[in-house]
Amino acid sequence: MTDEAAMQLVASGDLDKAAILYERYKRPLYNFYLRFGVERDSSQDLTQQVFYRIIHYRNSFRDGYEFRTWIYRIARNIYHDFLKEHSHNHKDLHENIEVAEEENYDDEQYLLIQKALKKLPQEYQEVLTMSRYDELKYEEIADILNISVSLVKVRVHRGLKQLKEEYLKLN
Amino acid sequence: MEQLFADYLEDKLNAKQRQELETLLSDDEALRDEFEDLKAFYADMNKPAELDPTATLDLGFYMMLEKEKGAEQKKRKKEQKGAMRVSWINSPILKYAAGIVLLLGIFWIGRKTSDKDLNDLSEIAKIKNDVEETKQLVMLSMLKRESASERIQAVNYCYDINKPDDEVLKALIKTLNTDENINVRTSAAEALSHFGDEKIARDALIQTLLTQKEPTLQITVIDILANLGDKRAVKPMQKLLQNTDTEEVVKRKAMESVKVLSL
Repeated sequence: MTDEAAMQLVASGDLDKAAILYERYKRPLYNFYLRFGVERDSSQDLTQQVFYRIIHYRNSFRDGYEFRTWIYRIARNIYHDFLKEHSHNHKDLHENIEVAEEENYDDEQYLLIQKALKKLPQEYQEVLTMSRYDELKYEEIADILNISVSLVKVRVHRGLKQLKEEYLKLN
Repeated sequence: MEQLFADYLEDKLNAKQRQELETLLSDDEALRDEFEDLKAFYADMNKPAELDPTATLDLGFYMMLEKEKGAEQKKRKKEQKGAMRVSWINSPILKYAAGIVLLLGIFWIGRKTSDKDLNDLSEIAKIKNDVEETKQLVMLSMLKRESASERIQAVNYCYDINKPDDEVLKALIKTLNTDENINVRTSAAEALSHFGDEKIARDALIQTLLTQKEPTLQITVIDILANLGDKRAVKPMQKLLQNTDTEEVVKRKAMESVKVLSL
């Protein structure tokens, strides 16, 4: 059963089908938040919120929607709400994020790249993380961020250039 | 150049674009160096091993799902009751039934006024019984309709029947086991749970557990049997757990219910 078919059934009242979607997406979404530097307990809370929203607002899922894009858009909105709730400034979270990342991952190279990534403007962080780590296509990222595909490509290129500079500074 | 580079990373360049990129790079050494550098850097951005969420997340999700299902069921029952009221008035069979009830009522009032020695209570009971029988007849008749929604309505009439006779219970069991529509079968399972005091209803629910293939219905029946507390349901639930065709979500529910029933 495709994600879209399962979600259509959920929208029509067959809520048990939400379990299929949950089993498919709980791990990617949990890791989506971990990669943004959210600590483990909060990543679980945010993942739970995503599924709460897809069930609660199931009727807003329309024919023709791509489920993966839809759920990641919801996940991103929840992440932004989380940032707003915990700090008015994204950068204020940096210290906590670094501690959380060191707890979550032991790959030094990855941690260094993450550190460099956090120094970039958020629009670059998002496209690079979604493209490289979440393996989302440019079209999907464009849909999630509600921007053009061309702009995604520009951000990937510029973001990567800037990331490399920051990485070299840290090294 | 930026677009071409991004497409190159996703391996999405067609032959013409690849040629265009190669020309650009061959004409500009600095650009070529930058391109090679970024390409190597991007390749070094390894995706870390993914971590698994803990069981707390599963617990939270399935509890939330059960709560939402409860709210959805309440909403549906309310809607069906509303629809039932309308169709009760509009259905020819029910108009006929209402006529019978009215006649019986007039007959009863007539008898009451003409014969003071009548036992009022037994007359009321008789009328109630007549109404009950009429409802059962209507339900049995509607279960044969082609439209699934009418068959669901028929199943829902059961909630108005206090003491169903064997014929009604057998019709519900037949519907549970043979109706082609999953929603009708699910409604029949729920209606049988309403008569959970009757052994024939519990037996049917236990037996159907191994024949139903639709996970949502399997979960509904598992829930019902766990709520009824009939320990005989443990065996078929264990069989479901051993069956490789059983979906994970059903196994999880069966596992929970086996635990509950084994307490």
